[in-house]
Amino acid sequence: MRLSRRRLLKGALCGAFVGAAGCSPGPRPRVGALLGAGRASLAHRLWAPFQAQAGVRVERARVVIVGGGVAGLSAAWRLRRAGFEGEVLLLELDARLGGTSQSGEGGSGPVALGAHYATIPNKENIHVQAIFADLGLIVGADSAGRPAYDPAAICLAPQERLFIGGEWILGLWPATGATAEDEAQREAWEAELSVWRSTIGADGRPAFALPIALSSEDPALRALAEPTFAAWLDARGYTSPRLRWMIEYGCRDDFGATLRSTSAWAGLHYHCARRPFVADPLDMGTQVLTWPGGNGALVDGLAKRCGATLRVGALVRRVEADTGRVWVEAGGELIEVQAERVILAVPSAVSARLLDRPAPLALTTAPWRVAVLQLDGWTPGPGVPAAWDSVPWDPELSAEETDLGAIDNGWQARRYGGPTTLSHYQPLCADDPSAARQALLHAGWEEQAEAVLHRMRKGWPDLPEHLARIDIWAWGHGTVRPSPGLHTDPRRLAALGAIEGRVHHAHTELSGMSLFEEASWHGVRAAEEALQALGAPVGPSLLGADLGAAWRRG
Amino acid sequence: MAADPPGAERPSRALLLSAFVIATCGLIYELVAGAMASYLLGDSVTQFSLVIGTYLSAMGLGSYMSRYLDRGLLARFVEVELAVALIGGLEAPVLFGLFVWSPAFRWLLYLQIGLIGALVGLELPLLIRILERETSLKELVARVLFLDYIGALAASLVFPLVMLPRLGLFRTSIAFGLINAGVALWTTYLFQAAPSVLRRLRWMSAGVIIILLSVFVAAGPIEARLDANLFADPVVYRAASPYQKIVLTHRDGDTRLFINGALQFSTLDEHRYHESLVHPAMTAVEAPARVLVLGGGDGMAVREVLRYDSVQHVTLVDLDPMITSIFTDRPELSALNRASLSDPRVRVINADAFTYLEGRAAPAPGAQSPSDDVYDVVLVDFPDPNNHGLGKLYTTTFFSMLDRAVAEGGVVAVQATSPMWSPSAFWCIHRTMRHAGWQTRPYHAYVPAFGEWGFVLAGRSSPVRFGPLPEGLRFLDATTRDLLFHFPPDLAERPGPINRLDNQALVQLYEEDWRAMLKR
Ligand SMILES: Cc1cc2nc3c(=O)[nH]c(=O)nc-3n(C[C@H](O)[C@H](O)[C@H](O)COP(=O)(O)OP(=O)(O)OC[C@H]3O[C@@H](n4cnc5c(N)ncnc54)[C@H](O)[C@@H]3O)c2cc1C
Repeated sequence: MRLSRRRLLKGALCGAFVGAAGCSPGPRPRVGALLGAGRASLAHRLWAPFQAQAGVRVERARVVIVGGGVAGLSAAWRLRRAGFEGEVLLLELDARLGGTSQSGEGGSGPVALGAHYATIPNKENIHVQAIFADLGLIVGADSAGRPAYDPAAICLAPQERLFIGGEWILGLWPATGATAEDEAQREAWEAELSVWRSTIGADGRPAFALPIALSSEDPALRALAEPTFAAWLDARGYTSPRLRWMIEYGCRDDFGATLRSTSAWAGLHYHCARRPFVADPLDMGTQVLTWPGGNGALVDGLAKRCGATLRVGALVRRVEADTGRVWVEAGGELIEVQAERVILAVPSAVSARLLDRPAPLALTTAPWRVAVLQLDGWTPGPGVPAAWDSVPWDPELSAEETDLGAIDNGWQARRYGGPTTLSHYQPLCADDPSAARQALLHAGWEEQAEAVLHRMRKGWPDLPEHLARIDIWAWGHGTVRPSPGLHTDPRRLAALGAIEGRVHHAHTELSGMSLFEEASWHGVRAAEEALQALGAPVGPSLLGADLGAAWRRG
Repeated sequence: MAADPPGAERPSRALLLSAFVIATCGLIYELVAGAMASYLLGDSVTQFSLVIGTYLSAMGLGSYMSRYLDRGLLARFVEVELAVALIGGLEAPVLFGLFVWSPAFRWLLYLQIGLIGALVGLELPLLIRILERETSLKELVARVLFLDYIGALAASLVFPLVMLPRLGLFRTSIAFGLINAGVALWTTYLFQAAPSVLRRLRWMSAGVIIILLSVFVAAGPIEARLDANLFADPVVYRAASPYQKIVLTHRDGDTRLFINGALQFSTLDEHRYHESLVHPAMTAVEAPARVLVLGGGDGMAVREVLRYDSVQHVTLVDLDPMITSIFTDRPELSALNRASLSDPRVRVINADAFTYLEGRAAPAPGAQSPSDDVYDVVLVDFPDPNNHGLGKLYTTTFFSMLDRAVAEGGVVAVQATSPMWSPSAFWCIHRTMRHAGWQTRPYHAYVPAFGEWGFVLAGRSSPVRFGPLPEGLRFLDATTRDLLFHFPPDLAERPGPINRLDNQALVQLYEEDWRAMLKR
């Protein structure tokens, strides 16, 4: 109301007296680009025919890590932590480390292009606690021995706001206009969640744990992975559209999936696996850790402390599992690296290609579009003036169409408004994502920028006047979907991670979920496996006492 | 020159009368603009003279432009009249709307004044040319100009003495718009013209009258809803910095400072507030020498601090350079703080206090050793936590950082909102300080402009012993000081959360408190 009045008056006056002093310049010409194009074309070279050649330059390393995402960097970090002395070479095709957790540059500081938060780890989640302690994120402990986290990394309040009924309200629950029935179902849902959170399986492990490998393998619980989340909610009588919207938000946010394309087990996992182990938990407002520019800060921290030789712009073309030979294109040259052990920290479709064999399991992955918007300020819309995460509520749009809103990259700098950079997230949630993926990868910048601004026009009415730049980043295979059936039998996913000759596998996909906790767990696990295979000291394992049976077999 | 419509030769006294009305209305619009400008922008002398200058020169321009109007003079005259009625009549509400909604208010104000001036400037030349055909020029000029000046006199008497007190600014300007429109309508009955022309002009008049009448009806409640605080007393100074809107009002020896519409002090009783904020802390340490004031850019707290001879230096950290500079440079304001901000012992730093304390946490290489840079007394005087930017200044993080700024044996006093009106917020601040490791002693004082007001005195050990108070205080003596620390049952402590950066619980508590208060 306030804004539209102001603009109306301005518009009328400016129309009448063109060029009069004080008239707003109106929407600015749009500036920006498609980012990551170089990366995409490099990655596509992977699918070009490849013939291993003799007579190329040969290098040697004891361990080669392929892929410089969170999984690869965590593997390198774990080797260093064990005091491993041999040469470790990490090869990353992109010009930047981090993969789906990388940050970009956004005018006033780093910006999130992919992952932008991690949760405070559970007590049993020792590998993440070890990483966080090493990165200086744990700054003390309370009298009960629970760790205290760096206040600068704990997400400032208010964390979330929702645009509903023409204004921003606190939190994610679409409270405006909710009926008594909506509220009753929500209460029942919260009560049910708290039961699941403390449910223990027949094997004595929590029903839902992070990392997933520590979750119970009790078949009675794993049966939840068979039905779709939608069918399960139907059967339990959760029919309130608002409640389902809020639950589905979680699926879209973590998996790029709808209630239909998520299993009930995974859907519950999202809500029930987090039991933060933290000092003075009652005082905590949140369990979210975040940094300016998102998880790129974790990537930087790992890269600094991992002790490996980090080579970017290095596209691995072929890996020979039996001999440990790795062919890599770097600086316009094909090089052969001879390694004692190889850790493949790349998506499973890429490992299949590198090893020149079919993938043991086909996974569904969701494409994501991330837009980075540089603003020279913004006028707070009606309601809650600002939050870290600003989410639209648009019941007219289908789950496939709707976006997740935007996070404020400058939030942790405590500016509460003013010039900043937003990262706007849109997972493409169609059941079969391939058409959406092709459309995303082939759309031009203009069209994409327009689509993003169209989605943001309600909650940020004066955005066009403040927008200095909008860049678009497309993830063709952003997140793996925990489709129905994927988690029923833990051995299904474990097949992706079986040791092959000298090769160990590490990637978040091996958990059937894309999360920092999972990616780093697999990196740490692969490194521990490699150390064992090399006969090098491993030191105390970081995998958690209750390591899942499927992975223990490895 | 083209011929006028038949019937234009019946000018009569009626048209002369309209010269009088036109002149009255013209001056009224000028006065309304001047009053609005000085109301809203402050600094009345400048505003009035700029408004008059703009208006007069625009009138000149309008008079000159009249030479381009040749045909159908009477119809043109009616049209100009209607335009004046509409734009002039709606002047006050439109200007107010622009002030609220547009950052370019100042320029739009002059644009509007210029437009009205130009239209009014058109009127008299048109009138003279219409009447010229039947009266001699000598007669005509004498009569028209006489009526013009008499009309101005009428306006200057009626505006402040009758209209403004009865109708308020909005309705005064609309009322004269209606008179203008009435003259226009009347004029259409004074001459003959093609019926289609007359019909058009009458419809237009009716339209303008209807618009003005409906705004007139709506204006009452709108004006009543305007921030009563802001307009209770005459505004003597108004400025908007990038951080906040600053307004000073003055009436009968009472100067009030408002920031973003919230009262900061009234000179009638600010001594109660500032003495209570400053002296318990200052007398809780022996011979305080180094004092840090966070917020409080009006220099009032510093004024109290400088009563102690032991004080060697005072650092004042306030976000807004506008506040500290007007309270340093404007004589009527620096008189209020007894020129405390110009005292050689006082250093003013314009910074966000949070960032300032954070910067101190990591002293720049080569800086003086950190112990040189600690304070015996720290006085924290921020606005109430009604948004997250202010809420961060009352968090565990902030109060922990504060610890590094305080010398061994030093104390802190924090303004902590009202234990009466916002008890949850008050006790949340108290609890948060305790959680951050401070030994606290909450206290409160009665400040009529605010009501019962609360503070927290804190140290690494509980500040219980007080030295003598300085001379010349108006509110505090030793007995009163002791009484401040007593909380009667209706102000008793209540439980609740701790305010942290990641929950900003205080902002919500404060809002809820006030909502509950307003419901009572
Ligand atoms: C838009 C988006 C938002 C997300 N948000 C979050 C979040 O907020 N929190 C969270 O925990 N998780 C989030 N995730 C999940 C995120 O994927 C994981 O946190 C984590 O980054 C996965 O790391 P990874 O190392 O397993 O995989 P990847 O990030 O896929 O890393 C694989 C790396 O291997 C490289 N590579 C591939 N092929 C080759 C080759 N042939 N040669 C050399 N290098 C190669 C790639 O360039 C890449 O750097 C998000 C993901 C996306 C897409």
